Amino acid sequence: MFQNRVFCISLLIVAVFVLAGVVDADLLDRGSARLHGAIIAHFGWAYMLSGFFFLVFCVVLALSRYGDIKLGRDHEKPVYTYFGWFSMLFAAGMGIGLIFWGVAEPLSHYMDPPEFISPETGEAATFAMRYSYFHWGLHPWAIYIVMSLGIAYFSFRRGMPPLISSCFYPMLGNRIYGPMGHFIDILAVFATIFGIATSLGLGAIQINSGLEHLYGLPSSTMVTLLIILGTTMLFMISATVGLDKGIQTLSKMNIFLAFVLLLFMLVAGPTSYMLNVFTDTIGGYIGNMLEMSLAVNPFLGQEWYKNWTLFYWAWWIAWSPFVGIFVARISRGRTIREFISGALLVPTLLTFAWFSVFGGASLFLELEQGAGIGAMVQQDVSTGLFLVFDHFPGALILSNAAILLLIVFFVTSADSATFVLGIMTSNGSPNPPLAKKIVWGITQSSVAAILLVSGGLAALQRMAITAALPFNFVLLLMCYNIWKALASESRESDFRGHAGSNGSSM
Amino acid sequence: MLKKIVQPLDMSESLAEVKMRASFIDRFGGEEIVLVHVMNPGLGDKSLMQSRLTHLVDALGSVGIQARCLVTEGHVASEITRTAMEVAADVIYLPASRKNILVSSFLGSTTEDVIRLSDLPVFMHKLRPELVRTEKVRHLVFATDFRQAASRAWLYVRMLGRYVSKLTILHVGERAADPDTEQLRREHADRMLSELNAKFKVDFQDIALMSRIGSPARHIIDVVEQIQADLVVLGRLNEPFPSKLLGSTCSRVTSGVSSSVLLIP
Repeated sequence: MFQNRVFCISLLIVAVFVLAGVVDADLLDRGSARLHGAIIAHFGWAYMLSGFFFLVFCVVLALSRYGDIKLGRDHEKPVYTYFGWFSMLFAAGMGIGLIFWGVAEPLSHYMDPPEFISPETGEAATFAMRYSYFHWGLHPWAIYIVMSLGIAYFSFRRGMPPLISSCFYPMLGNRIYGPMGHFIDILAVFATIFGIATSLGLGAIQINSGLEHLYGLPSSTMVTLLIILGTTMLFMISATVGLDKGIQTLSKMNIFLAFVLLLFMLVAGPTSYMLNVFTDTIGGYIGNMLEMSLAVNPFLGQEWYKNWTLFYWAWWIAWSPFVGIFVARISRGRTIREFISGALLVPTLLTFAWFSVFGGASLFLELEQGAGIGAMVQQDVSTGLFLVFDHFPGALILSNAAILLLIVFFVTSADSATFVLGIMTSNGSPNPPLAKKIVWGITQSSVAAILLVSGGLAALQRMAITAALPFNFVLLLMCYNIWKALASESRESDFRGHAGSNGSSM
Repeated sequence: MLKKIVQPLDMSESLAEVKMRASFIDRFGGEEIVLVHVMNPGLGDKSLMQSRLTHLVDALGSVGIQARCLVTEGHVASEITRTAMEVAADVIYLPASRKNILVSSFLGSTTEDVIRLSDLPVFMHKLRPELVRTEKVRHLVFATDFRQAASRAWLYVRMLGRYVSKLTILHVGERAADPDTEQLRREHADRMLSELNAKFKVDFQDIALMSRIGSPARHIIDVVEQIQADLVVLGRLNEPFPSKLLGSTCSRVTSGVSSSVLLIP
């Protein structure tokens, strides 16, 4: 197990981090705050430019002649049906986060928009919905697509191991098997650990809020840690027993449950209002796409963009190795055009529907009925969903269903993450050793716990941004490698067929 | 193959310089040198230029080099290439300009324009071979990617074999996208280099084969400087927009090497 350098070095780095948190949580918090501040101050623009570039890259690639190339051998066909594929895409990409922020984000923006917008106004509500779409729309999926496309192309079409470093072969050649390749894979492990830890932390906080809301369980760090411990044991059992089939079934059930919840809210809630929100925000989103994509507002309201947009971009980047490997696995046999258009548009539309229903419902309650949820969400963002449910028939069932969703998302995400981390630290082996999966399971839960103890939600967000920065550059270089590899396909016929003229030109 | 040679002059050259250059290029089988001077429209005395050129033609005739001269007006590079086509020249011979790198980067140079506009081979004479001392081309590098525009280039290489003893065939390829394909690419490159070796064996006394991966321009410059080659032969492609924007391999090589460059369109 300890022969793999990527495994040993990544584990050592994360262990040092965890130990630092155990020995002096304040020091860790101050250190991460300083690092995060420096990154935001100096590289915020890089996140924004990169996010926009990834989207443009995906669109150009889908429309280019390379769009017909398959993510697999030419004769291969897609393994999953469209419905199965879209369900899994949606679950992998968003999961816990969407449940956490579905209500909380629009309300947070509505109550506390950038300085140039008056809070709690119609303008703030429009802004809130538009930016919720923006943060969860095309850009995150473009980031995921770059990663998964690289992995799928180089592993299924080129027969290389499903590692991030494999995607760098056109640039690095055999050096991917040396320190440079290890470095890339270590960055991927590092980003995954902190990206997942952020999601697990958010999930645990919200489960705690839900349990407090429903059963009066105190909302405290200790309880959140106990929830992390409990869910960790659940996913460790799942990883140990190898309940792959069970996890798959649970994932599908989860998606089904999420759809039922969505439909119920749409029917039981202010349907026309929600559909108006959906239609209006789609228009605003498309119309302001370019401006939003590059807005860092250096003159006014920059703090807001730092806290929200930059955090999200970093979070998506940090999640990309994990989601990338998963999405790559389920997309084998599709053409690049089909893959990009499907993964870019369908989950985005589903996300928009989710925000329109949950965000729309919360804004309806706030604007039209003066429910006062916004102020409470400002106090504790994790309570938003349950406060909205209180205004719907069958609130108890809805809240319990949401908690169940959160727990299952937590378990399936964590289980999948341990699996992906195992692959990344076992030279891309599709069946990583159980011991490694257990080590990574304990590690990622420990990181989430340490971050929660040291600085709570803010610490989680800070570490996601910090871990994502180097990986942002990895993704940019990956675009170059993907393009280069695709461009070389046409040349390869020369030497594959041993034909070709004895030409000479430069 | 290099029988009719167009040699542009800006009239700042001394008679000795013109003679040296003409005798150098003439030795590659030259039969006639056409001295061309392009004037700015409406500026200068055309008849005076004509008479100065005639004087140079006479001087070349006195050392056994057959020459004639032409004076035209217009955009310098366009006129040089147009005249070369009109007189059915085989090659345009350009001495390297010593323009400041910043000036040439921003404003371009006549040499670059001629290379870009010409549909004929262009021989760009740089620091090597040094005219004053040796005037001899000893080591030739033929850079190849085994692709288009090829047969034309290797016919020139074969011709140069009559005057040059040592040839290095350099292939700079792009790394394939995966190890298996890369292995195939390497085997293909070795096979193609061997075929070229067999093709040029009768023309050169000494042939070396080299294969590299990466940026063609960077590796060509690197190899040429490392082995102190005197001349590089390159086939020229009409490269697509992004490559043009970043500088084509040809223009990067011609500006980067100290050796002379023969560009075959």
